[in-house]
Amino acid sequence: MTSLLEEIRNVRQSRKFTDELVTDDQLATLLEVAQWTGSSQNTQPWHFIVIRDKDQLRKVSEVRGDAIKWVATAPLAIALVISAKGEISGAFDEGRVTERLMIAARMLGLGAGTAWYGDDTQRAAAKELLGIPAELSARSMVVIGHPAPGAQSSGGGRKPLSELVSYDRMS
Amino acid sequence: METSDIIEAMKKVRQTRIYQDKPVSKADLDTLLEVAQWTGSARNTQPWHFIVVEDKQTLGKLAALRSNIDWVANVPVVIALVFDGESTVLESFDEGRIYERLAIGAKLLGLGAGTAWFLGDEEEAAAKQLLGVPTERVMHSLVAVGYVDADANQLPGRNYVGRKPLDEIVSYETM
Repeated sequence: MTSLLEEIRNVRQSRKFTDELVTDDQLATLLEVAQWTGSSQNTQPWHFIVIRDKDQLRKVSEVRGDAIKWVATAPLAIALVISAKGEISGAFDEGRVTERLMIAARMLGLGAGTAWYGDDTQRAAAKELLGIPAELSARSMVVIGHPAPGAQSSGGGRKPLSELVSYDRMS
Repeated sequence: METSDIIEAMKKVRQTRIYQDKPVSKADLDTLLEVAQWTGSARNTQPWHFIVVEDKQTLGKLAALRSNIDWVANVPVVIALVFDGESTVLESFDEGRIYERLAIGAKLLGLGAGTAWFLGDEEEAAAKQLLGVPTERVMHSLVAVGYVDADANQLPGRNYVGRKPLDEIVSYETM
């Protein structure tokens, strides 16, 4: 495998970050990569909220008990607001933006993780904190920074390709 | 490749519908499958299965299911994305993640990729039957991969408008 593709293959969720900031240049690059995500009929059904205020990061990290407390260790989060008509296409586009940000972060020498607000009540709390209109969908953010030692979960490996892949037909 | 070149390539990832009549090498296909294999998922559930289809007759039948995806008949290879059917939102999110990894991976290998969707239960059921996918599984989309036909109009009948400016789509701290 070429080294570049190896880089993509090795993108992992980071959940713990050092104090080192993400620079304005790095943020600008990440936003441009997100901006150029493809979407169904080029509808671009998204809005991005950049969170760098430590107090705001801490508050949003507390909307789901202890589950996403790690968000408070990061210098930056980009909250994804999705306004797609369909549930499936909205979630698909959200996944596309997330993956682009995670890959771009790695290419810039950073790490990233996806954090989900949780159930309806927890989502509503996050939306209020972030000033997101109730009618728009907001489920997750991409959290970015310099991974701390041990930040990347080993991930438990992956199923072997022989189990995952069929040729011509599944069965 | 410098970091800035990679980022520029990522910004230029586009939906490809028209490909050259040139096969994708087994090495490139295997690389892309590995990139897909290592996609992250909630609690590492990996709720997916991939079906590689190169048979022209099968591709033609899949393409015939919906006029908007007739271009699938002429692609060198597709990877059908099959999910367990446990959670619409989480699996559609994962599907987007896989697609984007494949699209970026293809671009960096000098290839192009495109996403083709079945819409509605009937189309999906017919597609699943063609590929021997159990009815309880979910299959929304195919990922086409191949060498981009640079001379072709990739967006017939569409008015390509670029992207909204950042100041319209980005807020700071609150929306």
